Amino acid sequence: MQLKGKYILISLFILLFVSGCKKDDDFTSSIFVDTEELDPSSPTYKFDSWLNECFLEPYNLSFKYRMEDVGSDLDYNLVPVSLDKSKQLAQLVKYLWFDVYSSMVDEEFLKNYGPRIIHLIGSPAYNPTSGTILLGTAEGGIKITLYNCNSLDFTDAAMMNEYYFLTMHHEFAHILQQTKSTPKDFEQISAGNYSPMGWQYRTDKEAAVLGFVSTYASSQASEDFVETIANFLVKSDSDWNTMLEMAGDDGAAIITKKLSVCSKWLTEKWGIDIVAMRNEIIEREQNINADFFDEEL
Amino acid sequence: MRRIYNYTSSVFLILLLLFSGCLKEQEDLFTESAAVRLNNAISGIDSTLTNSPNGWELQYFATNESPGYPLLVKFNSNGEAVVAANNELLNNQYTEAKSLFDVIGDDGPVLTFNTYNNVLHLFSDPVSEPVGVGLGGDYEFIVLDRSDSLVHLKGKKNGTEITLNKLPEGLAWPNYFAQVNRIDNKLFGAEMLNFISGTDTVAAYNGASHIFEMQYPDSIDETTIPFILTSKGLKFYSVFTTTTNTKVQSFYLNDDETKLISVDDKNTFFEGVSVGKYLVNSQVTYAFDTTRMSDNYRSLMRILCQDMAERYKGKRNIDYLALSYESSIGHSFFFATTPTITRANFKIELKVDQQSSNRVSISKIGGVYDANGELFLSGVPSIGDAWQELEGTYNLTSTLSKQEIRFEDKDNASRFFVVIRR
Repeated sequence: MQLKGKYILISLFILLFVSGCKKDDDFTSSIFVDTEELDPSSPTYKFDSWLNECFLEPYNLSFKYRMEDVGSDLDYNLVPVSLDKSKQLAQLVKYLWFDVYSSMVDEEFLKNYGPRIIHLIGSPAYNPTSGTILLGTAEGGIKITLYNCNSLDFTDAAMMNEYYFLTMHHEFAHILQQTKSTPKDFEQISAGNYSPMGWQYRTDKEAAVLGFVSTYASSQASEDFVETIANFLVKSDSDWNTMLEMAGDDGAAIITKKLSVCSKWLTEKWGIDIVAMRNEIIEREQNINADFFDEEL
Repeated sequence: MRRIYNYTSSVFLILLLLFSGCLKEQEDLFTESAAVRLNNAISGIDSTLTNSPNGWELQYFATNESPGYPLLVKFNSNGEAVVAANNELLNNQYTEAKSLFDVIGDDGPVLTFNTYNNVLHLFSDPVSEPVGVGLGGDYEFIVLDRSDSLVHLKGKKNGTEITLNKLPEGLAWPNYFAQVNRIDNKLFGAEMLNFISGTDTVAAYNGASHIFEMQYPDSIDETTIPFILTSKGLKFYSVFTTTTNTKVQSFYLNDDETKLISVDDKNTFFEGVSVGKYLVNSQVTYAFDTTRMSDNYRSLMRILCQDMAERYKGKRNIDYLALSYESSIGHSFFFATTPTITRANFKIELKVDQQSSNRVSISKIGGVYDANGELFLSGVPSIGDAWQELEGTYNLTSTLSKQEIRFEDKDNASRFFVVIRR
């Protein structure tokens, strides 16, 4: 009797705990496999097909240009990006970011570490309390949001670098930074000079003299690290040297030391030659003009 | 025994756990699941929106404290929306802009304009002043209810209520805005209208801003009422309860265009203030419309123009003639010259007739006010003739806006002239 009761009890427990264990689903290579089939009558059919071909299929990346406020920060007042600017920016992102990495490191690199979502927002994200604007965000290495896309002007390389490509390289460097540990000695270089709450009150020169490539780099060490990488990638030789001159001897020495640490880390941890990558980016930037864009998209 | 008790109680416990959820079945309120119903609603809304061949009139308010803006929207079945408007944000130019739209399942069905539209997103763009906020409008709207000809929306972020009215086929969009603009010009321009409800009268100021400031008699209290122009009149943002406890929202301009009457209650309406009192008390310049005046005035003003051209050899031609007011001068018969720009005033007195507040008398005041006037008068005596001819008593007629005023001699209807606000 005792045994019978024991078996019943065990059987019931097994029934309870095992009933939910079905056979595993057959996973596919993309997290976006349930994307709706494109409608050939849609005015964006060509563009959407191009996005699938250039981002979704090779990199498992969803390039979102239709505003999804549930996917944006509801604390900000934001508007969508225009379709025209979306098409331009998508082509620039491919050419100046994804194609650069594809040509410099193995093709699995962006598949493994690239973002899964790029979300374009038309307006800047204004922070009314600090008076600052957000240029971009990277959320957990998964999603990169680019703001102020309606202001894209492909004839203004400095503007494009400041608002978009600096942001892309900045946010992507965050993804790399969050994936593999960074050298602890970097944090010691400017320890004591970071100002998380007051960086926006520093001028470019004040930041440079302290050994920072930008005012935002002076906010905290993790931002300093990615700003050093991103600024080096998008600044021309002339702009980089101008910044070093502005920094003075001491500031320039600090910036150069930081760049050296970043460069070594990229080489050793990721197999990326930052100087070669920068040269590739600068060379490609020379090709951006009105004829660069495919108007048929 | 203790172990048997333990097993038995455990079995009961498990049975209790397994069957505790098995209460009496609730009868389904809906025949389909929430997801299916939401999808059906989305499909139905999309169909309603795209089935209007000439599109919709979108009565847009950025916030419940903002003026309303009429927009026209055409939803195409391929997911493209065309939005048109003609307002000060577009430099008063008729403008159409394309973008994408979608009906999505969010907090219920939501209509979203999810790529930038150069007309619609002007109301939400944080780049506009105040920077970071802009005009505070929505571009995502919860669909509250709908019929084939009317859709009620609510801004998802700010909660502003917005209406879509089906546009009649055959109405050209630019003509719609021309009609709205015509209504605007007919209604506003004067500083105030009287808002009459039964026996009560309230002063309604600042209608040109499309937000009435209602000032109650013997009170410092003020109520603001945002409204939107329609092709027939105007509509308050929300239902308004008058001092006589009448609920009103929409108004139409009557046939003789002297009143804006509530569609809910014919005894509640706006009407213009008395034109005579308005003219005497306002500080507005009204230019003579030389195409609409009787021959006696036209011929004298023509002579005046010719004499000026001859006397000053084309350097000081008459640009326009007007009835003017300046605080340092008072009312005057006035002209401005071109290409050399000069101005001259010849004083007159305007008085409201005691018998009728829509009747005024004009009398010439001896002497001229300013040095220019004196100089011109000595060189061109025909100025004095035109100045003198204005004397008389006139019955006045005008629209609510006082945009133009017709003066008609009270004793001789064939003597008249029309002036237009500059």
